This record gives sequence, structure tokens and C-alpha cells, in this order.
Amino acid sequence: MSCDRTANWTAIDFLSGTWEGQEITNYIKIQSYPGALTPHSTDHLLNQIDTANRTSTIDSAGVVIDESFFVLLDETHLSLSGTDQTIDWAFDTDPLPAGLEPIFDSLRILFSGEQTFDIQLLNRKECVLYFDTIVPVYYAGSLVNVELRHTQYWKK
Amino acid sequence: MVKKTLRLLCLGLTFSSCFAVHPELQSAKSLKKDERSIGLGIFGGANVLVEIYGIAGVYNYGLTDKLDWSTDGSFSVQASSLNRAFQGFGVNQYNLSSGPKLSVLNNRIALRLPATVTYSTEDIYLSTSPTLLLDVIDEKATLFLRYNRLYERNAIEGYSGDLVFGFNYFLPFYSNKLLLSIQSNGVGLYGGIGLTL
Repeated sequence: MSCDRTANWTAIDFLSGTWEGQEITNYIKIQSYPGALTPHSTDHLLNQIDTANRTSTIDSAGVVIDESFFVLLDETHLSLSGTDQTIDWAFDTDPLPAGLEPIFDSLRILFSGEQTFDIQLLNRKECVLYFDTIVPVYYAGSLVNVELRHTQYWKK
Repeated sequence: MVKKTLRLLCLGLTFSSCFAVHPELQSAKSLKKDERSIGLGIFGGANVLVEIYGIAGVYNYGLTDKLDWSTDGSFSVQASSLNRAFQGFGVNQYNLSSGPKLSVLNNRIALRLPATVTYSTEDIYLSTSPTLLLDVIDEKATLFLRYNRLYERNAIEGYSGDLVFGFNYFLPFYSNKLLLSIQSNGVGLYGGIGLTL
């Protein structure tokens, strides 16, 4: 029987391995008005974090649906270079009304770039990543600021 | 198809209907001058996106035999479950409303006109919450209708407030001080239990 000694582990040691999805919450506020919390289960996802190659690979039922590269900026910040696919598993867009689609078009562009996540919790068993941003969205001819607060919860 | 359409409609409304779903912990009846009353309760419920849990309280002071000053406050948290709320994945909201309550027609109908301050996700929202209370079934139950009107409109959906309608039933024991409440804002259903003192 082995026993991992984690006293000297740093964030990169904790990150390494396969994480099981638990939940992603997206809190969306439109120009400082009350927003909506849209939590959705991600228990069908696995996130394989390869710290040697600095990759994060998202797997759903044996199918790779996304891959991104990461840089651990410090012990509490992680930069992820995502792909266009991220929006598909990070948001449950299925029930959204068509009128809100411009918001998600803007978020797709955002997610194809690079995001810096706060590592809110990281230990042997749990990982909580968070980032927030304000996305300008053109809506009905005017510019509207949409604030996104995105939280990912993973477990080993 | 119908279910999906309903879900779309609900989500569209839910996108901005998260305000003040707490129960009215009082009846339409006015206090006598200088009398005071307190109501305390817990509530919970769900809409298509999240579950909501909260506590609420109300304090009334009789200014005249027909006019009270009514103040209520509530704390609620939205999350996918109570467990997730305790884990910190929820969104907290605090409401404080204060204003006059005028009772008419032998105390069977009352109108509250409070100003409301809401604090959530580091933002403050100002609104007014006119509330109609109607005592029915020999004062054993109270119907209420509350419109929370924000001072500003939402840019995308044109949202400026939401309506909560509900029903209090005063249970026939403990001197009718224990009440059950059911309320809805059209996109979710919420219930609570309270004690009036």
C-alpha cells in the first residue's frame, strides 16, 4: 500500500492526473443588472492534465472533445489557451433563448483566446478554477457589456 | 417541442428574475398604534436553472390603527443544490425593504409601498416593491401580490422587474402564529414556513 506524501507538493504536482468533472457554473450579468446562475453537471467529462507537456485534454465518454495548453503562472494562477470547442462543454447553451445568442458568439471568440484562471482550491482531491471577464457584445445596434463569472469544479 | 419552448421561455425570464422570492410573513391586518410584530421564516424552491434557499424576517410597527411601518429583510442563495451552496458555488442575495403598510376594508386588504435595496454579487440594486395583501378564509389565509420594480431597465431583455404571487396559510395551532407559504414568480415555485410573534 502506498501513501503519497504531499507536504512538499506544489500546484503543478497537484494538477497532474485525471480529473473528473463535477459542475460548471456560469454567472452572467448584463450591464450590472441581476444576472443568472447557470450551473450544469459535468460528471460525464474527464480532464487529463499532462504536466510534462502542459496540456489539458477533455474527454467525454471516451471521445476527446477539447485540448488546450496551459501555463502555471504561479501557485494560484493558471493560463489556458483554449479552443473553439471549450464553449461547447463549458456552457449548457442548449436551453438558451435565441435572443441571447450574440452573447455566446462573443464568448466563443473569447474562449478561443487565452484565459487566466484563479486556482481557488487545489489539493489531492479537488480543484476549483475561476475566471471572470467583461465581454462587450453588440446587441440590437448598441454595445452592451456582459459580465461572465465562470467556475469549474473538478475532483479526482 | 412544447417542453423545449417552455424551457426557452422560462430561461428567458429566469435570466433576470432572481429577485426577492421570499414569503410575506404577515397578513393584511394592521397593528394598533405603537404595537409591534415580528415574523421569521425559512424558504426554498427552484426554477428551471437553480434552487434557492433563504431566510426572511419582517418587523412591523403600528403608526396608527390603520397604518404600519413595515420592514422586511431576507438572505437567499442560488445554487444547483443545497450541498453546492454550502460548498460555495452559490450566489448570495440580500434584500431589505422598508415602507408604509396601509390596511383598509376592516383590515382585509393592505397595501405596502416599500423601497427595496438588494445586494448581490458586489452590486446594489434599488427598486420599489408595492405589495397587495388580501386576507381570506376568516383571516386564516393571506393572498399576496408583490411587484419588484427596478429603477433601471435591463439593456438586452428590457427587464425592469418581476411579479411574485403567493399564499400564506396560518396553521390552526400555536395561536395561528405558524404559517405555511407558497409563492411563485412565474418561472419557479417556492415555499416557506414562518412564525409570527
